[in-house]
Amino acid sequence: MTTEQRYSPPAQAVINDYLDRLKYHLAGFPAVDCEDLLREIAGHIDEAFSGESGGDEMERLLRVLRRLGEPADVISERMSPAMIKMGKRKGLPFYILSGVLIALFGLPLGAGVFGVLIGVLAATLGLLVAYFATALSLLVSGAIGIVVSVLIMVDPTIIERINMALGGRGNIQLVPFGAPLNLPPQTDALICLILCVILAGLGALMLWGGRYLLRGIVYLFKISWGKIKQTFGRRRQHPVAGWSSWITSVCS
Amino acid sequence: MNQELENKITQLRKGILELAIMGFLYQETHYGYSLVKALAAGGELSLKEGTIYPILQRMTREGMVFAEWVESSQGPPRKYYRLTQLGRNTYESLVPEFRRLVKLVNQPLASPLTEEGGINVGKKLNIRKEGS
Repeated sequence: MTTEQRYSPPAQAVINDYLDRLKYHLAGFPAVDCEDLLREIAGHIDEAFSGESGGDEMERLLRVLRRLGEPADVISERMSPAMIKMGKRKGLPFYILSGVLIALFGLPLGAGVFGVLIGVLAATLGLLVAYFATALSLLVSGAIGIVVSVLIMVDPTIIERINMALGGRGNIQLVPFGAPLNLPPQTDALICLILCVILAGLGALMLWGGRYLLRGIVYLFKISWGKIKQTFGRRRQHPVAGWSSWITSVCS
Repeated sequence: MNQELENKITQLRKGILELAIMGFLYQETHYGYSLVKALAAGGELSLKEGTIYPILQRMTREGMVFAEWVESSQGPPRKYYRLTQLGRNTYESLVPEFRRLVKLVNQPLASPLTEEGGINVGKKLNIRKEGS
């Protein structure tokens, strides 16, 4: 038997009214949660009504609903204490005024802070990209230099032969490090090799050290994120936290 | 009852109700109504029955509880809840804390009362007076 068939039209109207009021108070909460809660409460009413005895249908139904609680009380569990307190306060216009003032002055300030945060994030990201690009370019140019230097040491005429192979259009030239001292090409290539090894080593070292930089930045972001969560978490004081703070206050 | 006291009692009940819910779910899986019945079996349930559903939803969101809809032969589908490992660990940590708290609360209540009916705290003051 479905819920619709079980109750008389007036009883069904009372249930529908209860669920509608519940739905009204759930406005603003995630749709899936609302749907789940409504289904659960409807099932609860159904089952509690089946087990209820004594009195006519309406009396039994009202007893079930009374035990279940007013929709606002049921939903109050989902609201933060601050929201409930605010709803109960008689000086609501003062809070509305505060809200308007926060919207007028607080939000632009908040947007400014948000902008700074985005800027810091972008700058950090840029720094990271530049760091790794530099490291990679040092490593690649060093590696190319090592290969070329080794080739020259093996065959000093290789550059000329490459230029000739390119049909005279090639204009590859190496900077003669040892030119002022009239050093032979092999010695020149050896100096070049040493410099390129240092260059590639520096690149590799930067890449290796980059993971520490990454870790450090991730750590900084984690700390910042933790602080943000902590700040907003305090506003959403839930029962376990409330209970813990109550213990702390009793024990102290 | 004044508003401040009412708020304190509500806060106290909420925390303990959450622990009680965890306790029942620690033993076995429950759906909302069966949990309400289990809670009521231990004595009069001073909270409104409907309030356990948002608590269960929140505990699900926090990962303390796992929930799933199961078809029922006796009526509409039921949403069954069970404690996750995180929930079990949390419960196991909270219970000794709660016991310590109960002991702490019971401690002054167990002290003998004075002839006037007040809690026997003035005696120390009298001793000091005699000594001075």
